[in-house]
Amino acid sequence: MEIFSNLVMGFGVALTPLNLLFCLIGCVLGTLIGVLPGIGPVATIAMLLPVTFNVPPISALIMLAGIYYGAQYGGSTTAILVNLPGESSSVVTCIDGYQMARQGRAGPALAIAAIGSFFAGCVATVLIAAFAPPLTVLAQQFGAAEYFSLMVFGLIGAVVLASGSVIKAVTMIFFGLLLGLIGTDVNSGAARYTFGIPELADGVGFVPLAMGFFGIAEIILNLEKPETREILKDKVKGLMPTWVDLKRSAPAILRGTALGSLLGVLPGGGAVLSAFAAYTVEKKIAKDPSAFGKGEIRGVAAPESANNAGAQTSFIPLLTLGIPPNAVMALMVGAMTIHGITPGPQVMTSQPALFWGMIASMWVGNLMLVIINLPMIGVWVALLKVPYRLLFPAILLFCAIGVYTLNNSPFEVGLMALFGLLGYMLLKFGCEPAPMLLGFILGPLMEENLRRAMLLSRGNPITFIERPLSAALLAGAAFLLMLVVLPQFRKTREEAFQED
Amino acid sequence: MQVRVRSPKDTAAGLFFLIVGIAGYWFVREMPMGAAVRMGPGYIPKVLSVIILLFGVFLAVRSLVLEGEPLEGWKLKPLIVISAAILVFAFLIDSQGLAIASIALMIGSTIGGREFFWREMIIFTILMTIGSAIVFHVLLGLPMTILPDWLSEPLRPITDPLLRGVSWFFGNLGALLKAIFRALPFIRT
Repeated sequence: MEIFSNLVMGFGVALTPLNLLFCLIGCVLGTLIGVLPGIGPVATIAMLLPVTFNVPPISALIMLAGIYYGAQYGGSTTAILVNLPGESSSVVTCIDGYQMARQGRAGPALAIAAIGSFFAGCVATVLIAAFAPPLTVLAQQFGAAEYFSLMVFGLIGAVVLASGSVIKAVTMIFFGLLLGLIGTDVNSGAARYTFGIPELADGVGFVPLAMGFFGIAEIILNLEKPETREILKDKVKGLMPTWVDLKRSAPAILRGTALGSLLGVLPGGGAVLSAFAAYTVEKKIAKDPSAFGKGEIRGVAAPESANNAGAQTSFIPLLTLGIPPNAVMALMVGAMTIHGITPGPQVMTSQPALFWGMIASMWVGNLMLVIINLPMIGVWVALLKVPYRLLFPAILLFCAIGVYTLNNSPFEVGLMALFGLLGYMLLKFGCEPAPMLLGFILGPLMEENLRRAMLLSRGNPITFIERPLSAALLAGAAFLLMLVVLPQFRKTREEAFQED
Repeated sequence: MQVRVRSPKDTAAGLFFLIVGIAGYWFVREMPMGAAVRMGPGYIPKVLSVIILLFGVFLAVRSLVLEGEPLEGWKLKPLIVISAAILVFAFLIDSQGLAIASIALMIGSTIGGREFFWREMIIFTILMTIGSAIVFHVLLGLPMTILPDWLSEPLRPITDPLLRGVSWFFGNLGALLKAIFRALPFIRT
């Protein structure tokens, strides 16, 4: 079996001391920001991009990946103990997790969350290893037309599966595409939307953009709300879940893992959607749905498994097709670009060590996370006592330094502040920033492929339908759009994002 | 039927996108469209601007028909103070160095928060400033000015021993870590 020899090679890379160290740093950081409400993986990864300059690419990617799935572990701790989502993917964990904690069963809740996450992480790692090679082969047959159609499919999927208003999400994508045009046009050399500012000639950096929208805007919004953080007074004791707990949650973990793995691959999916969907499914198929919301352990097991599975399988489209399915993966594209790697099907063949090393590191990281999270739970609880009034200036400082050191450009720091204002305003208008970031990242790629496809077909748009793969992708996109219009699906979609 | 805003959030979003669409078109109005075969630099920006404009109009019109959420109030203090603090940081970082810029950012943003305590703020600011200078400049080796010329000389008696201490600590930490890794035979190097 080739997959095993590949995995062995991957472990050879992942288990070098340097990579182990970076995996550990990523997992600890991920848990940290997962535990702390008000800072998510997007802002953190954006913040750390400049730091990874001096690090070998594989170590950098291992660390950044660790932050994303590590955050899924950390998020559950806050959800269960404080009834606040440490991460948006842990929103549903609050419902039953906090009730369990109030009944004195915080230990088992935390343990089940970690066990479920670990199981999901292992499955997702195997899935990536198994599905990446065939998908890569498929991707190698892609021409410009297929890539364009794939990105259309991805963007539409991102809209349909995201929470909130569909029309606003679509408009935000177009807004992101427009922002992506800022700078010099590659083909004609014309300066578009630069307003005579030389710093804008190369376009808007996506780090200031991501940090403005996801870091600064969040902080300003958080400062408006009064701080309510009540940490459970009792010490967490008795981590071990009972036999009954395990037996009840095992099927939920399995279902959550399956659902999360599937939804993670879909564009617009990832951790958040997976957790919501898993909770909804558990509630639907339960014999006594009334138990949910009152400390039902399955309400912790399913979403926590699902969000970790989803976080990891969302690497599949990135690693095989070079298309980021969500905002975190869009940042991973940036991280790879910084190190001169163009994400896409060629990564697996040209840099097998990087590819398999990253996959193997995910399993290693999951193992580390169980240790980081369960025996060391006290450390994270203590950390929750750091008040937000100390936390947010520190986050701001790291954001500012992070953006500055990327190009030693004060202009980009100012740009981050501007995007922070813009992001705050759009959040107030009910517009989510994630589709915009996807549009921003995919925009230049789409323009390039559209132009190339049109050039090859001598300006005949039939080419997108003539080629079978491209036609299938466009049909998929049309199907997704149809779903949104159907009232039946709309209802389900709204239900999936309902919190109780 | 009386026309009134039923969904203020959507109205605001719609108007915002309307403005973005118009501005987006205006700034590239003189760029050639070209044909679909050979698109000019104006092709895609113009198409996108028009799409955004149309969506903006749609959102705004729909907000007069569909009932929706009200606009939340804006709290201007954190918004203005935090943005200003970051801009001050951007303004100071090149000429005055990281130390002064980060003190300005820390103090500025803390004041923009819900509550603050003077003593705590000062201590935390000093700790964070020294800490970030050590982490980003000394350890990660990122090139940047830490102290401006007029401060680095008078502060030398403080910064020199601090730097020596830091480099001694991390110099030995590296050796210690190396020793640990060597002692673990199952880890391949």
